[in-house]
Amino acid sequence: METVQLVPAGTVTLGDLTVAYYDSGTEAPDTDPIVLVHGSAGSTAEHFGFLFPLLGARRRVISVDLCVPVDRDLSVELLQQQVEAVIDEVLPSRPVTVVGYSLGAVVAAAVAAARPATVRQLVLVAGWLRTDNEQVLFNSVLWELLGSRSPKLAVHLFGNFLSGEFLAAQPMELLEEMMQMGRFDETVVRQFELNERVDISDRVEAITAQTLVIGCRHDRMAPVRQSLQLFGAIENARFTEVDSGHAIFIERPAEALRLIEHFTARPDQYPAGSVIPAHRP
Amino acid sequence: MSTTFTRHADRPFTADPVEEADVIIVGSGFAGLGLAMQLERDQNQSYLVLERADDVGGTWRDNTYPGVYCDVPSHLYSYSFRPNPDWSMVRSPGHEIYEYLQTAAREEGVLPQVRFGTTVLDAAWDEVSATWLVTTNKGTFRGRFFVPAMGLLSDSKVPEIPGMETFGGELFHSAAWDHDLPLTGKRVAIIGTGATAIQLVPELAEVAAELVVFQRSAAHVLPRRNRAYTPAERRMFARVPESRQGLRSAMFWFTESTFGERRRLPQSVAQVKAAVDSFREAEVPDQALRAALTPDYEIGCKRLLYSDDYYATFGRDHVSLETSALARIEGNTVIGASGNAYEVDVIVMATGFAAARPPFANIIRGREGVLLADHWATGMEAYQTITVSSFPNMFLLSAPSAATGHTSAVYTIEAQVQNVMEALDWVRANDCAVLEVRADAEAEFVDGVDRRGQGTVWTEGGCNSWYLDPGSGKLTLIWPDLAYRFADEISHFTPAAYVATPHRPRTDR
Repeated sequence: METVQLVPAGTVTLGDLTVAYYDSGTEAPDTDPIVLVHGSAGSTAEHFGFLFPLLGARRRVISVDLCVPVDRDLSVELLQQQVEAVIDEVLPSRPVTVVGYSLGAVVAAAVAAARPATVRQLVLVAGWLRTDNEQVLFNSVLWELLGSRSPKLAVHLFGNFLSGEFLAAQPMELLEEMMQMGRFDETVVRQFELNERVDISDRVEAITAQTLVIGCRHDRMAPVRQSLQLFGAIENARFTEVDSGHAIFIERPAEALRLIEHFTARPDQYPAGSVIPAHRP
Repeated sequence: MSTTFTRHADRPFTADPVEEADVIIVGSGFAGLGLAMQLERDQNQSYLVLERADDVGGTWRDNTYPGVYCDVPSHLYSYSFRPNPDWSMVRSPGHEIYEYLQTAAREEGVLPQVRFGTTVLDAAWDEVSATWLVTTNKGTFRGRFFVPAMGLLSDSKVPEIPGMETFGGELFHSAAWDHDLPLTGKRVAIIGTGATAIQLVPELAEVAAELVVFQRSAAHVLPRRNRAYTPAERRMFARVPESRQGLRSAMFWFTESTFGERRRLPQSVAQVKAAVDSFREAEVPDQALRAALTPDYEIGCKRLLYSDDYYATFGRDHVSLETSALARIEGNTVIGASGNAYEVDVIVMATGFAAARPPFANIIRGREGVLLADHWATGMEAYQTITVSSFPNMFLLSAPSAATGHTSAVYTIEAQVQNVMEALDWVRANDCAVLEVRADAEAEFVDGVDRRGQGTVWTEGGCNSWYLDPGSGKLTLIWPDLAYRFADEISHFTPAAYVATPHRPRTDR
């Protein structure tokens, strides 16, 4: 059987926070478990609905549902502690592979920098190093639309989340349907506030894990130059680019799965410093 | 011609071959031609392609029924090494795919090696000469390697209907369309609601005076959303190859993401179900008719179909839906299992193909004369979808576990072809005569495929599809996983799974 259900397996308590996690339970010999960390405004179900069950059918995969308190400012450290707490509780003293997406990639990089003995492999999908002007400008429009309760908030978010190529190829009805699905509550606000002040440039050079950096060619939220900077900053990193917007898990979930599957199966296939060519079907 | 064959030339033959080659391929569809083209480019082996028809093109040559098109986008449903910037539509009509294969065969220079009008009657492994003897209506061919590439959509399946012989009108299978037969003003029955029927029904409704559609089980249908490429786009594809490759990749990765539905991931299923249900609701306002057109099995269990006008056709006054199987024929009356009877002039059998039990298995004999059909008593199987124990030096293309229910068959065919090319290189480099997959490697591979088929919509979706072996019920036709994993696992020849016998004359006979 290769069916893995998409339901949380348990929770870990961290101070006053409760962090839920998913666990595929499937142990495969000679492989480190994978820990997934979702991105801003997401969750395991929203970002890894395809990745988690298909990856988890073959090996142990834990996915953290980050807990975002609304009574305080959010920090990379607070999210990092949650991931470390889940690792310590569910996979005590085991080496792991951490896969982070978007803000989750920032968090994953922070975990890898802090816990070099634990994180042997690292995959950073559409992450970034230090928030730059483009992201700040994006957020400034976001705050304006949010403040004025503009119905165009979803257009701003989805229009920039997805690549222009993807937008152009979909029927408009489908895009409108997708925009209905977005939620923008206080926890999302906290995450977008954090997005605006990320800077992990003081830490990433400490990362020793074998690292795969996946950049998204048409990403307007964490532009690919950010992934290239991570590639440059992390000594044992290789880089590959996917032809999608920031919404890689909507546009190219199977391609992301393949990259993660291949890298974790054979991390040495490409030496540090390599730019991995795309699969040409 | 290569030199490898001459090493056998001084040995006795058990037959008198009209022609011989290192590799004998049977069939000139996407699979057979795909291998032939690589062999032609490679120039390391001689080869022949035996083709029973008078042209290349496989199922796209045979299927010329009105409305025939491929539901896989054309920029993806084509060889990676022969891109075509000029596809007229996102999903092109069948004749264009046929022309694409004709052009490919001509330009790649394989046509001189194709023997047309050559029907294989029997193919047997000959231990003494370590060759395959392929008996045809044109004499016997001999090859060191034998590649059945007939595919699974080559032999029509026509059910035996009581009273068939009493029918006074025209009765034919959709793959044997008679374009000289005028259907205008005729009363037509079409049997079946699969991938062929859904394309045919709107076309038949245009010309027929009356049309009745016999449906045993309803199909899940999504809008086809086909469109023509503009001349500007086609020139862009020609001028900027990366734009074409980018589109092909986007198509590939999109179809791969739909595997989530087949794997029954809740989110994927919910999404496609919403799309299928809302399309049916919008297209079929009549509740009773909509209920009759609503399948009782999960989406993807049978092939998910695409049409913009299939549903709407049932709203036309002269079109009827018969929700039971065709039970018997009495003269010009076709009668459903429900008892409903219809007077018709023409019966179109859109009843598919002998796919899971291909007839070619009944004419291929391996070691000790064992028949492939007997080896496959509980269903088709092969190591890496290609090789079968007791059938040395034989490579199957596009047979067991090589179709995907969600993406392009050409992609899986190319992975198989690469494997065969590597195997042939390995055999040459290691100077061996006989290559046979170990039975345990074959069994282990087949178990692995079985295991991953569990929990998929094909085995759990509550339908009886042509993907399942009719005897054992095993899922033998489909690769029940992502296509890129097919490429990962199938593209490379794995010598460790084989017993290779050195190239020396046998002295024990």
